[in-house]
Amino acid sequence: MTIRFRNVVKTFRTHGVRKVILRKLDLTLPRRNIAVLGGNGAGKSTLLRLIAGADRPDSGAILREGRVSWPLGFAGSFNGSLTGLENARFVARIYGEDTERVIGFVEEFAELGESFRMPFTTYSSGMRARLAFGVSMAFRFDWYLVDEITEVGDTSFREKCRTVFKERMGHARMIMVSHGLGSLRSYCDMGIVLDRGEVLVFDDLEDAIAYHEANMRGAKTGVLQAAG
Amino acid sequence: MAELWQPMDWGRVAAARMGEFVTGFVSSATIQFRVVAALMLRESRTRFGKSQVGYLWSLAEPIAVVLTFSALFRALNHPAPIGSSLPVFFATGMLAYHNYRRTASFCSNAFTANEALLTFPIVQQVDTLISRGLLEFFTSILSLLLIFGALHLVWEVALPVDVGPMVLALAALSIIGFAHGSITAVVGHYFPSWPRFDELLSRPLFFVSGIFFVPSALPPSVRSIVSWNPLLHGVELMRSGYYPHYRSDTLDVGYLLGVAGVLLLVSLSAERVMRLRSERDN
Repeated sequence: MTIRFRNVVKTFRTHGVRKVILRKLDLTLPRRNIAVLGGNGAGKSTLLRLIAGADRPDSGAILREGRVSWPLGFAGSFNGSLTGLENARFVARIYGEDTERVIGFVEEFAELGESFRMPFTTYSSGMRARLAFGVSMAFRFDWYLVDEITEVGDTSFREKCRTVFKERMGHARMIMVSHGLGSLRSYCDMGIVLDRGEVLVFDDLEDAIAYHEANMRGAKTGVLQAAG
Repeated sequence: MAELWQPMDWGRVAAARMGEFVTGFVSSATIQFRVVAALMLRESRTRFGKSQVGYLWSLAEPIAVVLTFSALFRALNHPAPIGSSLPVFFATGMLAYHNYRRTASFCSNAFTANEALLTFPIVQQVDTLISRGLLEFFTSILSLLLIFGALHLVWEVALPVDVGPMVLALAALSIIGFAHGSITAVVGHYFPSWPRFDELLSRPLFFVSGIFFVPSALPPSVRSIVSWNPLLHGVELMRSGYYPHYRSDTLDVGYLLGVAGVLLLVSLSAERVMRLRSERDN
């Protein structure tokens, strides 16, 4: 089960400035937990959105095998005036899942208590993150796309997240964007680096991290020679 | 050695392709139906809240218009153009026009109101438009039933003679509203100040859609110009269903449906073009 990029081109035009995110990418992502690295504005979030299907490439195609999640992030895409419960129900509906099951799972997982039935606007940032986590975990995807997850909640909640993640990773895989190398190291075993329109693939996460850090320091030439 | 296609192979390939197409189409249609239904339910929740008050409140404006103009006409000693009741006459017109106006309004800000939703790849922009359009249509049907039900029970106003044309009128006006709103939304995507401008331009329609008059009361020269307004036909169709003996010479159902159809095509195409381009320009 892979995700294949076939001659994918993606550019952005903001205020007349054209930025190339992907320059004719031809790549197959293997069935592993993959970290996505790159500088600020390199297009990591865009890459995740492309994989999810929330954005479309300018040309080329992305062929996905298996169910791909939406870009799971901090806030989710929840409507403020709806309650946590109603938001969960909505996501369950669009994905064609049993709404009662999803609501039950999210209620139990997110530990929001009475707030689960209160409008989303009343939630603290921690509660919002817990709801987002809960909703994401309620669905069995084959690929989980994770964008800048910050570990929230108290220790027991974080433990619960980790347990669920690990259990899911038994049959699912994760593609993760994070500036926290610790998170990347604990979940991923390989890495890709997005650098000015190109994607470099590293079979070992540490090589990816090394390249990325050298890149950031500006000492590219030395690393390229060493990597061969 | 080159392989030559046998005629039978072409048949098999064509059949296989057709099969794929149909299956693909059915499954996409199922998904779209599911997404639109979910959006509609969510939309009605956020719009009307958990109480019935939100819904009734949305009727407040048209009711106020009807009452105001009834009082005005009565003060001027102007009788109802059809039937004996001024409020009922205005209500038939207002119900039709307001359906169009509200649909156009809600569709025109469908994109901005739902931006966060598009993170879910399964939701397309066109789904937000369709769900709003459909929701408005069903709301209007409900309004129709409630208003005339209430009028009948409380003031013993006559029930509609034939609900069919009334529902058809609402359907056609919903489509025109949807098309107008969608086009506004698409243009508004590129020119953010357009929706406000469009609303200003659309205001005169309120006066020339037949809410307050019947076309036969107009001088022929004016009538021929005003009869280009599809909303007028919608109102006339509405009235022809409600009143027992009202037959309008101006009403052209074919024109109404034709305009609705063409506008629908144009608006959906515009949305499609926008979708194909929108990810290119941020």
